[in-house]
Amino acid sequence: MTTTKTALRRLLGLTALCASLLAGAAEWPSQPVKIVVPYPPGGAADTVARIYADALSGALGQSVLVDNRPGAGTAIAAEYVAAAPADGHTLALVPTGQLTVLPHIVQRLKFDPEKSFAPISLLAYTSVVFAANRQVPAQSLTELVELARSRPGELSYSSSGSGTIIHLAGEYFRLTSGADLLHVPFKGSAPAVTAVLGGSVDVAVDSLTILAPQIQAGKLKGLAIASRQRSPLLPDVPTVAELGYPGFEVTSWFGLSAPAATPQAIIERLNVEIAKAAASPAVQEKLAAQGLVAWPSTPEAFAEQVRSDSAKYAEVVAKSHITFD
Amino acid sequence: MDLWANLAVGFEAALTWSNLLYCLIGVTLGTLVGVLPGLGPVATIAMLLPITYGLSPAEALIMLAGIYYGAQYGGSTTAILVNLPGESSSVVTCLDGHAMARQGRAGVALGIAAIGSFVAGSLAILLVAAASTPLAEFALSFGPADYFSLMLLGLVAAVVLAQGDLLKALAMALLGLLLGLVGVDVNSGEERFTFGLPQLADGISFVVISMGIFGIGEIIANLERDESRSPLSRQLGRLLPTRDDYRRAWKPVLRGAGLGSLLGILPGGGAMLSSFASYLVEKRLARDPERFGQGAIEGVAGPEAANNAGAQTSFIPLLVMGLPSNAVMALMVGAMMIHGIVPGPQVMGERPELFWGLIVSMWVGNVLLLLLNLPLVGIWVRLLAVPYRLLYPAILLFCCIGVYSVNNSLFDVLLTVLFGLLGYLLIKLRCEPAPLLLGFILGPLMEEHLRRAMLLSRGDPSVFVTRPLSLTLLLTLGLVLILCLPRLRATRQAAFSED
Repeated sequence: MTTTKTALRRLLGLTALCASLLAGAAEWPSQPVKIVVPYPPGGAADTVARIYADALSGALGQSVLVDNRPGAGTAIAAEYVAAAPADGHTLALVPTGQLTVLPHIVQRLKFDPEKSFAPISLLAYTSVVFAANRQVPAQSLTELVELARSRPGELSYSSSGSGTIIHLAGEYFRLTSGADLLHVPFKGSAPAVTAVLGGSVDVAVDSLTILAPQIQAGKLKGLAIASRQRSPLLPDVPTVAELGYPGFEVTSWFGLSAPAATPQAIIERLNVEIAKAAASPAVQEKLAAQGLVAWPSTPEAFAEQVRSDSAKYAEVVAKSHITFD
Repeated sequence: MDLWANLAVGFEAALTWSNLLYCLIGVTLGTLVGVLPGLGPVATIAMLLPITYGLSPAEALIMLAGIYYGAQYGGSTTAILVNLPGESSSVVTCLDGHAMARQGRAGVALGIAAIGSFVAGSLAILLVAAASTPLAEFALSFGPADYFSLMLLGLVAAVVLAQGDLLKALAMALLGLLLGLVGVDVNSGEERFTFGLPQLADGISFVVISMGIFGIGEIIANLERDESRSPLSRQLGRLLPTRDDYRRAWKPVLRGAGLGSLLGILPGGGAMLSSFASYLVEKRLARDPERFGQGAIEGVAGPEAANNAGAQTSFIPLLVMGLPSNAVMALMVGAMMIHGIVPGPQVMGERPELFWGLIVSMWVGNVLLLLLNLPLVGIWVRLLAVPYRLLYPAILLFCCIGVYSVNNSLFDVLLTVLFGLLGYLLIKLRCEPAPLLLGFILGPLMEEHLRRAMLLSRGDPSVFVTRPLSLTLLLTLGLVLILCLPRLRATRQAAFSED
């Protein structure tokens, strides 16, 4: 009698548990979903988050909000999401450097780039572009490398900051080509590009988003683009690989992750909705206006992108002695 | 002739009903936050950014721009009436504006501030429209060495300008420089004075310092004063300046407009540096400089004209090159990006109605502001006459919301409280906080440009005297020092005579 009762009670308990689990997944999202962006409003990461937040709001029937938590080279936002409840209501917009560069240059991070997050999907990417001031006597990237070799210690390039993906792209090229280029860090893209427009720095390295308008307007000379193919925005600018550095590629991508323990059902639902959003012409158009290309993926492909980029940049960081601690 | 065609496009865009409405909302909000000390346009625009989602790009930009230059008008009201800079760029207006108010000429001070702002704003907008391209090229020709020399000049000017003890002003400027060092060093990536707190890695926010020291510190200090001395009991007097006032003020207004237009274009310059520079120039040019600080109308007209002109022309780098020159412009970039417009040289060609519409709307906004500020000044004054027991908790609440909303950080709110206590201490010690604020803003920029100039010259310091722009600025600096030496000596004599 007692055993039957216990068994019955257990069964009931189990049923209740199943029901609540099912309900939990079915009820999601029960409150507004927050996408945490590690930068202030404005800029590519924020724009990507807002475009997808807009599309997801409609698809999920809940408002999807963008929460800007800038600071400490994106570490503050990553630590915030890593510690957030894993119920699918807090998501992280992940820029390239957060998981692939930051861990190599900062020792005391309160998150693990691979274990703290459950990847959902990549969202979009933009390529890194090399451009020169008009007065620089080099018409192509090849000529720039020769110029840097013949006049060592004279040419410089600007980046949007130490340890950013842009800085890594510049150092990666310096190490690959052997061109002697001095790195001059700025606080953000705007002053970095102004310095090259004004001629105090010779070469600008930055994303397609930032440099395409300057090159199109003829204010800077487009030298090369570090992507697999040329961009339709700059059809005359060759890829770095074309110019004799096969496999040279630096992509600035943005992805969406959740805290590690987020239920699989929620991850899958989000992955499907993102793929749908990325396929819509409205989203693609909005991204294209920023020089961005929609790039949905499986969670596994996103994880693989993080791993391979992390390995590549670990080497660049080690060879060019970039540290933050 | 292109200019007139462009302006016609602008008027067509700016005078639609919806754009006019958002312009009015913007300048009214701007005046409001300008009047209320502690709450500035940066926090307001940051808070309103999400709301602009539902508007058209033109409506959004017109409204946000209106908040910025509207605050320049509103800030002077508080500065004159309660000796509190409602806005950081109104710091110098306190000196003579409040002195005028004590003499019962508050209305005239408000009148000349509004008229001067309007004249300078209109001139600056014409300048933005006519000369945006060549002016942008002038700003571009500034290299790191030139920026460093310019900022050094600005900082020295701030110390020389400060009321009271020169030594205290110097100490405040140096304290500001030290506070500015907090955070990750841009060149090496080393953390400085962060005590291992990740919230300090990006430095102390400008909003935190300005709200803490100027907002909360002042409120604490005001609590111990008698409320009967509040603006409630003060008479405004006549609003329109006399013929004599106009005679004294028209030249400072024109000079302020010119100076402000020029400094507004420079990144990091903007409205505040413009008003400081104008005050210094007027004090230098005056035949009787000892009147300054005692209610000289030139000391209100010049800086007020300069800060409004600076606020208008700081749109030039943003509109022509897509590059923000200060925090407000960075937020404007954010607003443009939200609407899928990449700010840059292509905007002028691709979206002429947006570009010229925004420029003309700024002039329309200035007209609205003149109407808001002259006949309606009584309403704004009454806002200040709200009993402190209601006003102060409201301002404190606004400050907290504003500080929190910039970075969504509770830490920043706590830090603001700490700076509030520091601000109170400084008032008790009779240390003027304006040089601290300028040191705080200019310090990190100076360091950045100094190190960049040295990096680019491969460690050769002669770059500061071989570049003509930098040399000119350093020579000006020398001139300022020579001119203020007599004052130094006078201070010393005063000190000796006390012994």
